Amino acid sequence: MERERLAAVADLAGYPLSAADLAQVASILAGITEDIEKLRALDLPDDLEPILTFRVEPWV
Amino acid sequence: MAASPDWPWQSLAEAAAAVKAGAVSPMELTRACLERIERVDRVVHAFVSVDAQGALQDAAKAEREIKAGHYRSPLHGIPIGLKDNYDTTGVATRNGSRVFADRMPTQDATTWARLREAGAMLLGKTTMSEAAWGVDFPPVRNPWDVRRNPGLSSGGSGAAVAAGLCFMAMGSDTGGSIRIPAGLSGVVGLKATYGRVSRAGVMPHTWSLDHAGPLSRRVEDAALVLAVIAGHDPRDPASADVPVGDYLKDLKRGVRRMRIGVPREHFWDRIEGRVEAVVRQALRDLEGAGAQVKDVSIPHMATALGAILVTEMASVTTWHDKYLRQPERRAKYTPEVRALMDAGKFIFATDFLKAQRLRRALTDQVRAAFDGVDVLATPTLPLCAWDVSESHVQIDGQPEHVLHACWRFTYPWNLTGLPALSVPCGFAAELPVGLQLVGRPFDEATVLRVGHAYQEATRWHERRPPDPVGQADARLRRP
Repeated sequence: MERERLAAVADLAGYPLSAADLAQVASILAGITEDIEKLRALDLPDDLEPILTFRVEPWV
Repeated sequence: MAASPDWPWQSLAEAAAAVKAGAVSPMELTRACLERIERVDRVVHAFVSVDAQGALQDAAKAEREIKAGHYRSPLHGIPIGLKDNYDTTGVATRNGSRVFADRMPTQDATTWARLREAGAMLLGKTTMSEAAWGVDFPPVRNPWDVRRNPGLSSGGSGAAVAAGLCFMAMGSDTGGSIRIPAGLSGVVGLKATYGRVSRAGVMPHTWSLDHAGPLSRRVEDAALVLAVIAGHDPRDPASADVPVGDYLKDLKRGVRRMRIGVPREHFWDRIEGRVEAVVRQALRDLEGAGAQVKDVSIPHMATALGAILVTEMASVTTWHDKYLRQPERRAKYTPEVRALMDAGKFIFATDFLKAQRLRRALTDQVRAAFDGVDVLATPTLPLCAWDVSESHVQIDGQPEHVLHACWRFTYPWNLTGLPALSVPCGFAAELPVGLQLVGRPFDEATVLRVGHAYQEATRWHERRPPDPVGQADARLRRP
């Protein structure tokens, strides 16, 4: 991700960051984009709801 | 009687039996550990702080109590370590960060309170990576090869046990940080079911992924510790009100006719050949001990990394945001960790919710995979301990960031919350390899039983690393 584009997003989001910080953030985001894209592309059933409060129950 | 130099190498169970029988005193055990810390930890850096005076006072008290007939539990008079994110009244808890350098808790973590009540004695706080993320400072060294990393982020706890500095150390595990150092350092690491062990008083990393648990020399030690720390805690909103089993009753019943499932996907795709060979042999050893091993399928494993990434990054940033907004505190984070936290601000809510949908789907698939098996078995890691100066490793000829590689086989069990145990299962080029055993929710007893049977059949846990001080002389100071 280009730093300038990220800077615009950061300002809009209310998270203004220095140029040096933005460069590091851009590098990290670039490193995880492929895995997040895979998550986005995953076809899950329409009726599958997110777990909003994670708890583990015994399997019965 | 002088402290035996061999005491720090005995298992917690052996030390407990000796204390109970009067064959060794808590003071002797404590002195033996302190002497070894004094000699070795200048190389290993497993402890970020040691309270020798406090430990000796506790040892004297334990000795008086036991002599008076007030033996509390197998933990009574046993010196232990706690990761630097466990709250300890009157002892600084820094979360591995300069941001919390002056943080002095006024209440104990529930786990520490239970361990202390059972008679355990605190030697000190173990080194961790900052906020359970990023790099170690100072770098903890792997006792098996002091040029190498002992694993994140409970690396200090793993190294402390592996180097014979204490009988057990507590760690925390958000994506593998108990099992990763256990695997890399050749010790046992147990992450119980999410909710089984209280997280209250353990500084949060990612609420829905965090687990607290022990690193020890033997599986039996982990069972003894779990018996003390497991159980409902009103202080922890995620604590499960599920009856605690007897983790010792069936521990020694062996694995004859037990069914072990080996997932086909994900765990064998990108793994060092030398690690795979050791783990495949461990599976054959379990078969040799009477278990039945069969393949199972969990297709969503292959795409779950994105789910834990967005869950973790968003959660860590949310917890730390108030500190990141304070310029003086923000400046105290190391640049690497601060950047990870800043990056968490750019995780979209849609991706976060998709991740939580995937967790449900993954859990359903894992549950189906357990149909007809008692535990799952996988490698703990795809690689052995790497050089502390390396940020990337080659696996299958492809470069990969070490942080990316090291948690690939452990994080699925944080996403699903299932109990998972890493047991030493051999060596590749003199570096430890771990076997990971995963159980049904709250069935830690079966996981421990299989792990114990494996240790009894193979006894890898009895090997000791070469002297770290001698290694440092030979390996680190050579021009």
